Amino acid sequence: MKKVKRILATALSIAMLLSASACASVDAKSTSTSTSAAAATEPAASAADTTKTASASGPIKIGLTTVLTGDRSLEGEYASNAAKIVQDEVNSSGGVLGRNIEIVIEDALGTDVGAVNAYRKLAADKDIVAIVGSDSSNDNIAISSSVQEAKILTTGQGSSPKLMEIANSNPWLFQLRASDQTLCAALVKYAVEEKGLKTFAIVHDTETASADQARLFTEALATYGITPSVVVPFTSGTKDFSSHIAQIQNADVDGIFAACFHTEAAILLQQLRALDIELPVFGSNAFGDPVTIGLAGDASNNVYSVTAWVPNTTNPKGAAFSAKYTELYGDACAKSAAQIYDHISLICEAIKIAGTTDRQAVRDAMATIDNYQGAITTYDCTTNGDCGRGGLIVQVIDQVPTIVKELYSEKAK
Amino acid sequence: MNLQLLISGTTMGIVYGLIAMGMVLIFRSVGVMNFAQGEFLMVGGYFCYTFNQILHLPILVSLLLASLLMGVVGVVFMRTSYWPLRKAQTKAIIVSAMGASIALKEGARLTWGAIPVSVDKVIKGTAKIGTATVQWQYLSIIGISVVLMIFVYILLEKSFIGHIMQATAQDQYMASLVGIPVIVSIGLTFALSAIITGIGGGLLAPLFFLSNTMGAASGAKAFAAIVIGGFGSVPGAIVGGLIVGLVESFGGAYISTTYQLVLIYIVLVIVLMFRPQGIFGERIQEKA
Amino acid sequence: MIQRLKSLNKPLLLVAAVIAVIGSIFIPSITSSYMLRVLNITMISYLCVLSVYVLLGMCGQNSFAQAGLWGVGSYITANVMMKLGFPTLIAFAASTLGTALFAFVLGFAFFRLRQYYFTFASVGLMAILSGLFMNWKEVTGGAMGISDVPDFSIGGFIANTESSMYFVIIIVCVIVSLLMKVLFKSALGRSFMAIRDNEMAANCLGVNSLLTKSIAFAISGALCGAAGALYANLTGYLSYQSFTYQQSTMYLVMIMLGGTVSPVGAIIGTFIISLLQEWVRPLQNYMQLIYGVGIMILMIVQPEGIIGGGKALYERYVNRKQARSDIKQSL
Repeated sequence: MKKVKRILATALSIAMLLSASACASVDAKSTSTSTSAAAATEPAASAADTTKTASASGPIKIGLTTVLTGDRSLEGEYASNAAKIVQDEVNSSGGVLGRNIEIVIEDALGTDVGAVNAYRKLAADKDIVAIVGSDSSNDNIAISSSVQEAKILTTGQGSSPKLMEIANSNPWLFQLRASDQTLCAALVKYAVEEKGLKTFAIVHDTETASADQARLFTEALATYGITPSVVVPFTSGTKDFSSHIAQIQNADVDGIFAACFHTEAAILLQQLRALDIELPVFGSNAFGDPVTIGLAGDASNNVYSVTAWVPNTTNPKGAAFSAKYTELYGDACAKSAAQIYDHISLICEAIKIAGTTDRQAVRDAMATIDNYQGAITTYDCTTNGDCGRGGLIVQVIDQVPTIVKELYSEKAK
Repeated sequence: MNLQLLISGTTMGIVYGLIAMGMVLIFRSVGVMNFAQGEFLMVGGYFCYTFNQILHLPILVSLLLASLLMGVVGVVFMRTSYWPLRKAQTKAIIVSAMGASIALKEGARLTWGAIPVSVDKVIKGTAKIGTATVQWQYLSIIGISVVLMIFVYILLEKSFIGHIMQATAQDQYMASLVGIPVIVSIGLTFALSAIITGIGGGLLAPLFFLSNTMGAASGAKAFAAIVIGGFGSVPGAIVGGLIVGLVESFGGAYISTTYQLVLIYIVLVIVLMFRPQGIFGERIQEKA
Repeated sequence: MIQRLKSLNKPLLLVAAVIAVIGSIFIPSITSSYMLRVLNITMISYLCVLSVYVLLGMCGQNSFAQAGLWGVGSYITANVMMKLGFPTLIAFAASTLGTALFAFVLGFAFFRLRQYYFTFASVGLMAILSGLFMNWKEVTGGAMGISDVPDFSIGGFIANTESSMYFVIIIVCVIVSLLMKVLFKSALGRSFMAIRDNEMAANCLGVNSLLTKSIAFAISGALCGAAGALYANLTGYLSYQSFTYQQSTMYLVMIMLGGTVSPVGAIIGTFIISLLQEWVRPLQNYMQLIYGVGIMILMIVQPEGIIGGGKALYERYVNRKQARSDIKQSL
C-alpha cells in the first residue's frame, strides 16, 4: 500500500514538473515561432537586427503589472481602464512605428511574490518591449533585481526616495514620478512660510509609502528648526481615531500633517470635524483625491494636499484624458489612471525615438528624453530616479480640489 | 479626554460585540468558527448601498430589505459551505469557510467595483455628552444593537423556534430523534447570524465606508472579542467586544497607537493562557 | 494479486526515481526564468507546508502562525548576514535553530491549551508577529523592509542565478523529505500521531503531551526557519507583505488539498496550488474568485484531499478484488 502510494506520488510530481516545464517551453516555442514567421516577411530596414526584433508585423507589446485582486485592487481598476483608453488613442492615431500597440496586463496580487512573478512572466515574453511596474514602491523594490536580470525597460510608479536611489543605480528602471522628497518638502514649506504655522502633529499610516512620507515631513520640518510636537502612527484598516485625535489635542498644535490612503483619510477627516477640530490639515496625495472627497463629503473642505494630479487639471493633455475617462467610466479620473496614461505615452515616445523595438535601443532612447509634456507633468528622464518634474498643492474648496500652488522642481539627487 | 475615550471605546465595543454575536450564534449551533463572518458584514453593507445609493430608497427601508437578502445569503452559505461537510472534520469546514470568504470578497469586487463607497446615515450630526462629542450614527448603532440583542435573547430563550435552535445546538443527533428538522434549524441560525451582521454592515457603512476587503479587519476583532468574552456565550460576546473596544481606545491613547491591534492580541493570548474558556465560557471537560 | 503488485514495485520505483532525478537536473535549461522562480518559490512553500503537515497531519494541532515563523526565519538570516556579517551557512543554521527555539518556548506556553484554543492562540501570535514585522524598524526595516540581502554562498560557490538557487533549494528539499521519512517511522513520530488520534489515551501510555507537542512545534519552526533563510537568499528583499495571515491560510489549504495523512500530500498540494495560480493568469480578474470557489468545491467533494481520495479509491479496488475472489472460491 505504502509503495503504491509512493509510486503514485512520484509519478504525480514528475508529471507536474514536466507539465510545468512544458508550459514554459510552450511559451518559449510560441514566441520563437512568431519570430521566425515574421522574419520571412520583415521589411528590409529591420532585416539587419532580426535576432533582436520581435515579430515586425504584429502589434508592439507593452507589459503592465498592476494589482487587480487583493487588498489594493482600487489601483488595478483605474489602471486597466486607463490602459484601454491610451491603447485606443495611440492605435487610432496611427500607432507607433506604423504598428498598433497592445498592452498586456498581469496581476501582481498585492504581494511581493505576486509582483515578482507577474513581472517575470511579462519579461519572459520576447515580444514585450517595456514593462510598467505597479503603483507601489514595495513592489517596485521587490522586482528591481529581476529588472537587472531581464534587461528590459521598466517604469516604476512608486514615489519613494528609496525607489529613487534604486532607480539611479539600475539603468533599466525609471521612476516616472516626482519623488515624495520634493513634494513633501514643498508642502512643509507652504505650511510654514505661507501659512505661518509653527507647531505640528504628524499622523500617518504605518504602511510603506505613508510611513516614508511622514519621515520626509519630519525631515523637512527640521530644516526650519521645527520638531513635530507629536507623531501618531496607525495601522491600515484602523476605523476609530479617537485615541489618535486625543493625542493630537493634548499636543495643542497649529496644524496637522497626515499621510495615509483614501478610506482612512476620509474617516480621519470625518472624525476630526465631528469633534469640531478645525485645525488645518496638510495631507499626502490621497487627501486631494476624488475618492476621499466623495467619502468624506463636507469634512474634506479646506484640507490641503500635495499631489501631482487633479481631475480638473489645467494641463490640456490631462484635461482631455480626464474628460474621456469620466465619459467612459463615470468616475472621476484618479491619479493611478493618469499615471498609466503617462507611462505608456512615454514608452511609446521612447520607441519612436529609438526607431526600433530592440530593448536596449528603447532604454537608451528613454534616457534621452528631457522635456516630455505628459498629462500629469513634464518628465526629465536623463537620470533614472525622480523623473516627474511638477507637483501641485491643492486646497479642497466646496468638495473640488482647487490648485493653490504649482510646483516645478529641479531634479532631486 | 478620558470621557471621550470611554465613549468611543464603548461604541466601538458594542459594534464588535454585534459582529461577535453573529459569530457566536453560528458557533453555538454547529461548533465551528465561521471564518467568513467579516464578509457577511461587507455583503450586508453593499446590499444596503445598492438599495440606498443606487435605487435611492430611504435608509431604514434599505436596511430592512438588505436584512431580508442577508437571510437568504445565510441560508445559501449554510447549504454550500457547511451542510455537505457536517460529518467531516472541523478543519475541512474551516477551509471551506475560508474559500467562501475569498469567493465573497472577489464576487463583491466584481459586482460593486473596488472604489470605496458610503451609505446615508440613519441620523446625521453629532451629540454632546458632557465634554465628549459623539456622532448620532454611533448612538443609533448602539440603540439598534441593543434592540437586536434583546430580540435575539427573547427569540432564543422564550420562543418555540428559539428552543428548537438551542436544542439543535446542544445535540444535533438527539434533536433529530425528537423530530426537529435539523437542517431547518441550522439554516435559521445561519440566517439570523447573517441578518444581524448584515444590519451591522449597513449601519457602519457611513462611518467606516465600504470596500470589498473590509471583512478581514472586523472579523479579526470580533474573533478576539469572542475568545476574551467566552465561547458559546452571547453575553460573553458583548462583554468581550466592550473589552476589545476599551483596550483599543485607552491602549491606543496611553500606550501606543502603532501597536493597537497587537495589544488586543496580547490580551487575547493572556486570557487564553490563564482562563481559556474566557470570562463567561463554561469549562469544557475532556472525556476519554 | 497483491503479492504480484509488490514484486513489480521495486523496479518500477527505481525507474520512477531515476526519471525524477534526470528530469530535475534538466529543468533549468528548458524552462524560462519566470517558471524557474515560480518553482523555487513553490519548493520554499513546500517546506512551510511540511511544517503544517508535522503539526496538523502528524500531531493534530492546527496553527495559523506558520507564515509568521517563516518571516522570523527570513529576518534572522537577513540580520545575521548583514548586521553581523556571518556567512550563509551560519545564517542558515541560525534561522533554522533560532526559529525552532522560538517555537519550542512558545509551545510550552501555548500547548497547555487544547485543540482549538491553541489555534486561536496561533492566530494571536500571527497578528503579533505581523505587527512586529511592519513596525520594528531596527530588526525588520519597518514598512520598507530589508533589501539587498546577500546571496547564498558556500566557499567560492555563489548562487546568484535562478538556476543555481534552484539546485540549492532542491537539495535542501530532498534532504528534508528524507528526514521527514525518518521522523515518520521513528518513535517520536508515532507519539505525535498518538496525540493526534487520542490525546488522553496517549497520556495514559506515558506520552508527555506538553513536551511532545512543543517538540512538534519546534520541528515545524525549524522547517519554516529553513524556508525563510532560503527565501531571503533567493529574493534579496523582505517585507511584511509576504508574511501575512493570508499566507498561513494558503499553507493550510495546500495541505488540505494534498491530504493531511502523508508528507506526499504536502508535495501534491503545494505544487497544484502554486502552479494553478500561474496557469489561471489569463483569467486575471476572475483568478481569485475561481480559487475561492475551487477550495469550497474541493472540500465538499474530497475533504480528505487527493491522497485521501486516492487511498479510498485504492481500498475500494482491493476490497472489490477480494470480494470477487471470495465469491469465486465459495462457488
